[in-house]
Amino acid sequence: MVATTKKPKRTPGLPNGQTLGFKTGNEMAAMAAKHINFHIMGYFPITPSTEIAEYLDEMYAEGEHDIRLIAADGEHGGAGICYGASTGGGRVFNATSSQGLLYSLEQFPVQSGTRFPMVLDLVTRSINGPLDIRGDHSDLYFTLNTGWIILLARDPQAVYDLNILAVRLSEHPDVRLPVIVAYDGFFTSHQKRQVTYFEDMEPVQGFVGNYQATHTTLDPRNPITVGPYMNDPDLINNKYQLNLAMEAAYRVLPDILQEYGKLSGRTYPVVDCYKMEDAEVALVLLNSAAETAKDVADQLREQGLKVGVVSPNVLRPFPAEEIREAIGNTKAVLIAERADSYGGHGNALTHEVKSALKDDPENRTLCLSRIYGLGGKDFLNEDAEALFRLALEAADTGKVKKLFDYHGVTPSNPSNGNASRVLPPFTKEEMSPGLVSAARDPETGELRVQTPPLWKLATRSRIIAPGHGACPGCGMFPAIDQLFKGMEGDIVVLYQTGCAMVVTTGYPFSSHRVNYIHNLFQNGAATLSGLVEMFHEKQRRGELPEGEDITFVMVTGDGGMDIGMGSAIGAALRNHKMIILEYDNQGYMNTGSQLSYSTPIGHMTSTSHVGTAQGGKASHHKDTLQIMAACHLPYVFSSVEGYADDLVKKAAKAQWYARNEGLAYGKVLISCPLNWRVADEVGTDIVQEAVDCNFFPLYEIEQGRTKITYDPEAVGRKIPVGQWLGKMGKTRHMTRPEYKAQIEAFETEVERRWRRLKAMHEHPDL
Amino acid sequence: MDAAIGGTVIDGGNSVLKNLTASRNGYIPAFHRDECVDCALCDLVCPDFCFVWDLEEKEDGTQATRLRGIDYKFCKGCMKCIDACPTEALSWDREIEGYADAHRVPLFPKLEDRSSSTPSSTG
Repeated sequence: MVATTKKPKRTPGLPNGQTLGFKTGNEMAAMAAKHINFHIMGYFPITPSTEIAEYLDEMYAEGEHDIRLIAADGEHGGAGICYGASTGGGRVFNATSSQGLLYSLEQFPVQSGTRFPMVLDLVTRSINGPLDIRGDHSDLYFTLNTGWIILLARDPQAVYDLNILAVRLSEHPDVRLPVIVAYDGFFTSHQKRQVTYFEDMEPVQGFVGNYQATHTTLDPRNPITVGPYMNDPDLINNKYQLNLAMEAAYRVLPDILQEYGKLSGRTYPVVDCYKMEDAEVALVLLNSAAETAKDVADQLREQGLKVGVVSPNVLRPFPAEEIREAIGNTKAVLIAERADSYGGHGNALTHEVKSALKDDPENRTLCLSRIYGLGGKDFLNEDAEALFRLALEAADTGKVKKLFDYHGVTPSNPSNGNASRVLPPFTKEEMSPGLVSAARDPETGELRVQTPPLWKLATRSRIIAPGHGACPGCGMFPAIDQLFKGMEGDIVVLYQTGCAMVVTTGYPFSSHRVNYIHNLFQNGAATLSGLVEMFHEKQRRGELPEGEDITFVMVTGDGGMDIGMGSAIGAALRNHKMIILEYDNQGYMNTGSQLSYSTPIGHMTSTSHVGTAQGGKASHHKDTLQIMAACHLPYVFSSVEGYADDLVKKAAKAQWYARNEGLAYGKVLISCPLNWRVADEVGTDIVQEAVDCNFFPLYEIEQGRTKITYDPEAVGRKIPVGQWLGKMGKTRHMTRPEYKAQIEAFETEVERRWRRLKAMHEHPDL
Repeated sequence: MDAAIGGTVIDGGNSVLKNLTASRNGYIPAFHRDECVDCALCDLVCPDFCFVWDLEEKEDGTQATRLRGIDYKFCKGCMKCIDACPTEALSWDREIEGYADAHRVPLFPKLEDRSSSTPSSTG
């Protein structure tokens, strides 16, 4: 049942019950999804598209729509959820960006090749590496060959309108293809613009109509086989059908645009042409940059220069005829692209525009190609003017001086990585102060660790330099520092994408005083395992100095252990000599506090809102340590930032096992004052309470033997979970009477896991 | 254009050139040497590694770790250290203009003539 709340005021004069607003692209995407009321959204948070799921979750918590929102284990999983759901003959939605798109790219041809409609909003963003969260089109270009229709939304209004149109186009009986609606990350996704939208969902529902799927896997009386094994000579026919569907989309799109125009008062052309009637020179470019170019075209027109701007609203199917018609009579055009096809002398738009012109044998238009705005670099009026001037020069001289180039590369900056070292590298002696030792007791075989009093470790060299950008009170660095305080010798670290990575390596700065690598969090463990084996192989071949001893440590958040679980399990099963440290702050804090699988039940995050129809996260927290323990690792441990003595000792053991036996895994609960909604200074006390209520037991599993290293009951410090939950803004609601059942369920689960752990502690075979 | 290829930062640790003073929100941990027992609990909870230590030779020839002060250039004012301190050696003070400069103990004295080449960003 959908209850429409927070009704905006209907604006007189707008057709069919529409209202005016001032909203961002992401807000408009969420609004469109709500009005379409998709059955399912499978997604994984990634900047800058994350807000769409956040807004939808917030609306869901207040009962404003029925979309079942499913937070996936990664974008690959998200695409799988969407694919599976779409075979059931319902409406499906997803939103992603950048690496998320690339991680799920494999699924795109599956979706289109088996012909199941859905809508995906691609909030365009630069792709790694190095990692850049800002907007360019390097992700978008990867979708060109996937068999998806691609609509381009240049502003928040178009985001709303094209999302609604996308459903109709996608489900058209002659089309039956998935559709991407692409809009510019940050420029369009995060900037507010004046918009018009339907007050209620009814006009949108009327426009999209009922979806009658060609095939459904949910009709047992009419069973079908989706995705057979198909070789030659059949596959080419399947692809020809897809080609025909694209041609059909090209054919029916103008009609759908017209029909939507009648409903909304906004009619989109297939190709947006600005002042092109008499233009001698034009810029061809995609999405928000075209709007900048239009402003500059006006200015140049005042100087008597006949310039215009061409920008397609659809990229697949490519509107070759409309483009040829728009620019065929110009003297020169410059095709500007926000992504390169390195070595291709221009990306796809350049070559497709050129080929559209080439199909007219009489055409004499000169074409230039420029790459601009990579990594989200602003495209300002002066940039648009510079590009117009290049094209004007070609038109005047009848010659193209340089066919292809980059626009906007900055000259040398001596501070960019090549400056002399600010801090000297640590010596071998500094890395091995001899404060900590670990050795097997020759008689009992037990691993014995010797650590000094904690104050003695204060002068130990720190491998992370100050000046990092973590939020005040963040628990990450005390925990990571305490881990390294328990180790001796050289260290190489790999940080998976996440808070610790972002705040320590903002270019041209780095806080890492030892060798450091970043890789995306689907793959950090595999990456580090490769380096571990390179180390041992080089050592075996005598290519490294005698006695070189390096400990390899991967640092990841709990989010990295969701999307990177498979990679971590793979590394664990191969038992490489390395350590994985997971800092668990119970959410995807780097992207704005979305739920992780480690987020406990009932906790409020930006994708598990608390409202009248939803009370925080619906499922229990993941027991990552037991999952890793099931790989039968030599050493698994838990600790918290508040128990330095415990963490230092466990770190020393982890290093011994990583040197001698194989992979050691540690999970450390750390505070995130910002997203736990607590004061900066209380994080250490709160993680202590998480331990004292048995939510986060401190224990280790050494070669299969479980040992609880701190038992709150034994020392009379056991507290109920409610006491801990009452301390945090994200969980305070759980202490209210209406959440009694939920908090009891939580306590029951916490106690069940604790009793299980105690049994394992007591029995050597468990 | 003369940057190292691949975006590699050759100069790890150069974040010490940053000044994070602007992250503080009007309060500052004040250090009172007379009350300090050098237990280092403050140092263990500090997210920003601001505490400056000396190794001192004791009369019996052994070395002792002694807290010299705080490098306020890196302190974001989270006040975790005050919570951790078992004595009265750290106090929660309203930051008065000039206090940090007057009481700051540089963690990297050799770098005092170098400053950040780009504006600090504290995320």
